[in-house]
Amino acid sequence: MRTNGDADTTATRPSTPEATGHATGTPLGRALKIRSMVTVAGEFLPFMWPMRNFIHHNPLNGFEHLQFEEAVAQATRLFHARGYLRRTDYQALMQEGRIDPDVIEDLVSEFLRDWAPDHDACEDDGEQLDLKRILTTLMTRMDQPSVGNAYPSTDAILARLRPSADQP
Amino acid sequence: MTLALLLLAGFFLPLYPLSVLPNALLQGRLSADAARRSGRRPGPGSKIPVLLIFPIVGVGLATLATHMDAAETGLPTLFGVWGGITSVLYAFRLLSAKDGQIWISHLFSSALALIWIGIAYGVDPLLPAIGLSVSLLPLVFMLDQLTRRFGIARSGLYPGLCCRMPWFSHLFELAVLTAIAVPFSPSFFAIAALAFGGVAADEVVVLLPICLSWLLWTWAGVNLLTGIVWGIPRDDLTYRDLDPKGALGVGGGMVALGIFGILLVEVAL
Amino acid sequence: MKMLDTALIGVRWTLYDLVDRLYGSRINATLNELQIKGCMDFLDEGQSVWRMPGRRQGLFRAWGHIAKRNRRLRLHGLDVGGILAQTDQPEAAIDLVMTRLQIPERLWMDYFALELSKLHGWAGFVRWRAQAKGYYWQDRNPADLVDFIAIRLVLSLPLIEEAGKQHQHDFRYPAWVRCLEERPHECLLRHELHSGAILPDYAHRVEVVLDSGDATRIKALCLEYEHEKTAREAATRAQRLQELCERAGIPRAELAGKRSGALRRMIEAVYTFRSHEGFVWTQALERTYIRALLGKLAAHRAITPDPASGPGPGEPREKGSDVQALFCIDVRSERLRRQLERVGHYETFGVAGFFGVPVNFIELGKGHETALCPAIVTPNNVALEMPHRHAHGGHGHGGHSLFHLATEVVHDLKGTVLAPYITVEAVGLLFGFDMAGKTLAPAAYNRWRKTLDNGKQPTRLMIDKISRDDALDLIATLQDEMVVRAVDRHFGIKREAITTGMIHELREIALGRASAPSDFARRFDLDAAAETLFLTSLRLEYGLNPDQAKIQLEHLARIGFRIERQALLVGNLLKTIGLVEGFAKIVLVVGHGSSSQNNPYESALDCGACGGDRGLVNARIFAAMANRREVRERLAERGIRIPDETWFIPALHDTTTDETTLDDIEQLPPGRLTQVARIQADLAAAGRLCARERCSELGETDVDSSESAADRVKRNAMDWTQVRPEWGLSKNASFIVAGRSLTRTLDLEGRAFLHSYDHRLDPSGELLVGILSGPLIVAQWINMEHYFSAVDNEVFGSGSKIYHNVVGRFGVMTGNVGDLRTGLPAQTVLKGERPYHQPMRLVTLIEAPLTCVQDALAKVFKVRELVQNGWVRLLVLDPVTGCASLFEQGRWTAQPWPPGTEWRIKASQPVTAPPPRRPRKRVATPETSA
Repeated sequence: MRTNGDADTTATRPSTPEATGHATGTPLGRALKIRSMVTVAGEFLPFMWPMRNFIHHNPLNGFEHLQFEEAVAQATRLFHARGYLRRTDYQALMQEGRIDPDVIEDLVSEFLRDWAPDHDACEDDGEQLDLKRILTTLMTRMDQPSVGNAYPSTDAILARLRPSADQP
Repeated sequence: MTLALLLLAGFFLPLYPLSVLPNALLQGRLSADAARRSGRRPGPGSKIPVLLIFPIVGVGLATLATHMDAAETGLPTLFGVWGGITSVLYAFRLLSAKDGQIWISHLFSSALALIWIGIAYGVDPLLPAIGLSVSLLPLVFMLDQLTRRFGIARSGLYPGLCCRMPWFSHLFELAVLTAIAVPFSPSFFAIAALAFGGVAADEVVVLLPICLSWLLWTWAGVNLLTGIVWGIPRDDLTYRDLDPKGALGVGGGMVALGIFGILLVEVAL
Repeated sequence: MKMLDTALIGVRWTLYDLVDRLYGSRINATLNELQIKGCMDFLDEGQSVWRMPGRRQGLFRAWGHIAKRNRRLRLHGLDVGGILAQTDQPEAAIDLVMTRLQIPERLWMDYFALELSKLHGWAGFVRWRAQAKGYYWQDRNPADLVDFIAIRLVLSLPLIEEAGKQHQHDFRYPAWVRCLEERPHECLLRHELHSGAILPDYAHRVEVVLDSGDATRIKALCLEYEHEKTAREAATRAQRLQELCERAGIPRAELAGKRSGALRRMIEAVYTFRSHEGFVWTQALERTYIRALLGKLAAHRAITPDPASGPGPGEPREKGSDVQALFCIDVRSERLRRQLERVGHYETFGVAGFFGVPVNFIELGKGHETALCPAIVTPNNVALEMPHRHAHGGHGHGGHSLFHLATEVVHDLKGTVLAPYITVEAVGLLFGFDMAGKTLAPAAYNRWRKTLDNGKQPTRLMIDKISRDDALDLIATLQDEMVVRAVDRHFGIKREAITTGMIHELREIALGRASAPSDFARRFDLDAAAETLFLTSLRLEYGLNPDQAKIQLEHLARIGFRIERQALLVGNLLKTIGLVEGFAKIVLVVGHGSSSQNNPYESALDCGACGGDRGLVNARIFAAMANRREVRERLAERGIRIPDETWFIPALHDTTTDETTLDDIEQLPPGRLTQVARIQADLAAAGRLCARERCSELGETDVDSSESAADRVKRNAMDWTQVRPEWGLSKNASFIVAGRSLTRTLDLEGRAFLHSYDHRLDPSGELLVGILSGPLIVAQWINMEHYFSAVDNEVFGSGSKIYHNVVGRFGVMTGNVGDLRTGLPAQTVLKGERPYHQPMRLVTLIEAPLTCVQDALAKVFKVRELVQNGWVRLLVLDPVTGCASLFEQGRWTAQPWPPGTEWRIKASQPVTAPPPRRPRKRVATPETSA
């Protein structure tokens, strides 16, 4: 009833040499190839122990070779799931005091520090907006955004932001 | 003469294929072009006259025809059967209708076609006709509300309204139930009168189309509710619930209908 | 909006997915239903009374056998008979179907993965079964993923072909590629219409245009629609951005006045950030917790006069603690330990709940082994439970009370199909009484029920090896017993009529060590043929043959632990937790378990270190080992001197009621009983305090005193309507590997796994490696399970318990047919709509020199992988240098640890340099960190 944890991918059932009584006898090599394809394809599946002895396990066990953020992104795409709570839930935690607003500001600063080199501001763009304050407000005071499958470009959004098109 | 009158009545109390006219009117197809040109959205105002007046005209014509039918030609019985078949036909088509306008028009046709059975077997058709048509009014209003919010009243496009628009959903459910002749609505009493009030009460030829239609209406009603009220709501639409005045209006209207239905029973009996 | 990409066919969509999305069919749902019904019957483990025939041939063949005759499938339009007639080998069937659908071989693996993800619960179970060694049901009825996929493909082929006929399209792979390439606009519109994402006011027009089939009109409408949808979304986003800026203190006018470069930058920043937002929140939650934890530890350090970390080896222990207790690392033990230490002079330690003793346990009266250890360990030894006295009643279920028999009969009755019709009249009243009692007055009713039940008889555990002579004796006795029974069955001759000599002789003949004719045959006038028949039956049916005897001998050899091994296990554990001297007179060994009614997730509340079972058996075994003189002698040779008067007592902590009961008391030396009474009183008091603490979390109102709290939690344990008997491991947040002196009296809110460890006793680092590769992994599994069940309970968790139906005795489904639910139910991790468990990665704190930790990590691949990929947050408190270091994004970063330093984190400082002392400030200073 027990086995070693790391999935033993070579645990395939030995294929019995098929009797020739059927019209299409698949050659052994091909059968083994299909079998190994299935085994590899199934590696992302988390094991499900019978519930008589419930074993807690990581549902993303098959993704542990990736970084956490990347693994969550891939798994949520595959399973059509959410990988983090809703923003409103996190805001509730913040109200309870479980998340420190200072920490949020620190993390936003870190994000901007990593992001900024690729998005340098030019001189003639005029006075820059306080991105740190905006992003912090986004996290802490805006409600949950809706999701759709239309992704307008930055220019399109820009056009709506500034109805008068005379300013460059 | 009788035949001509009866056929004319068939326009107003829908008999297939004469029913194409009222259906088109109700679905707004004829006025759609005009509306598009003028830019105004056709409101329920264009439907209500059709709903209320057509049955009365039709009943009037048919009653006239039967009075004139001294020869006892048996035409009314024939029309009764024709009405029964029309009713079941439209009820079937109701099952696959998703668009709100088509739904109302098919239900109207199916319901009012049953009046012919009453005419054929000696039930006074006026009150049942009024009962049946008036029961559709709340649903017309609710579908119009949907059209105002989403541009179209159609099942399956914006499910899960019970979560996002609770007031609306409650009243919508009641409106649908009223329309499909669930016991507290006037149309239920109307159907009961048609089924058991005439000389051929308890006969298969009377009961079969009525019961079959009624069953199919229920099924269609649940389909409509499933696609609009229940389900998981979409996140990319904005929802606006009924304002209190509107809610009171519709709610009060349905209570009034309920009372009317009871009166119908009193009068009929 | 993107056109549908042909490269995603077979990778993100199966062929029938495309049919569903573009034509509004429901092939996926139908397919799921048919497949689940087929698999459910096969995989059943004794729940259904009518069993599926032919299961021994394997999943695919058994299913195929029935599917060929299944008329209901033909009603659905599915003629699977065609394919099944050609082959009954699953690989061949897969080959056939994939070739018929013309899917290129390079996509097969992705396609299989996609098919598996549709029913990932069932697939996960089949996958587990396929690699489970020694799992009875898998050995009898083999199933694996190849069968699973074969069934799904065989069912999907006719559905796809049927849909193709209905819509008059070719739905095979090359046709789809062509369709998406040649008519992308039509496909996009169809997708929008049927996937439920269409703009409602366009729905009618789209439908009309698609029905017309006119390509130019379709393209025109598609472009118009795309433009409109994108424009509306852009407008919505712009509006939200304006609102956002307003809230951030930038009025609309000012925003409109900015130049486009600045605005563009802002838009891009916001939308890039949004895709990382979830992770940022998680990090924020973790950092806040880490800071709070370090703050608490620092404050505690400041008031405790301990130098370094507690008394070193050779120094006297905590003054006055005359009882020590070993608890499991479970987060619920933290509460009890804290309260117990408050109530009296107790010194507590934390260690994995199986107490280092992996064992296969055979309970009295049961015929199977249960492995009591973490899932990653395979036990090599077997332990038996033997009754204290032999119950009378002779053979069979000796000693089972009438009550037990009645329960069994009733339970069996519940299972048959006809039973409801009969039992309602006959037994219905009793059931009604039962139901009323359980619902209206659970506590009182359950107490009354217990009086009817004799309960379990007292038992002893057999943990010592049986000598070979004893084993042979045992086998011989068993064989004699078999002979007696056989004689009774075959000839009706009772034991009184035959002599022991005859029995022995028959036995020897059967085993081939003597020859016929036997004395028995002569005595009862059996001719040679009858005797041979009897002997053959003895050999085959009753297992009296040399091979069987050898197997039995092997089995018996597995029973028990050798004394050296016992000493090794006990010694390892004591060294790991740092208890090698200064033993108190009584050492409690407390395992834990839970009690609840009507709860399929019952074993999720039990001890995970014991494989989802109660920890009492391991505690008893450990205590029995540690109490043995021979073991203590060997331990003394290794430097661990356990005084003679020290006695280890096993106990069980019921985490639902917070009651702790001591076990094996009858083995205690008589002089200790008063002490035991005091301990029991202390444990009860601590338990009541714990219950009080928990009641507020459970949302119980009207609980003012500890007594009422204790009553309330006891009621929860007995109430079959209670969906949340306890919170269990929810809200777990950290794993602390340190001496108790670091965390003693700290209120960790029942959120920390506490493992005792003394780095000074572990120069080689082996013990730390043991902790990291065992308990840490289990804790990480627990943490991740709770994390994902909390963030998306519908997909990763199992939804609400109310809609669960137990399936085949191994899992639950929502509704009467659906995917097998994995993960934790909503009631365990959520409180209403909001999450109760705070989803964050496990914050692991190790009190050991940083170099030791780094060395230990280098030795264990799995843990290293987890730490480096960020699945576990590792924090090291180095007692030698006095520094705290956090492993973050591939680097060790120093944390402000000794009290008196600034609270803000300094990033990427070399670990060896101690952080400079700064005046303590709580107010956030602007931008001083690097």
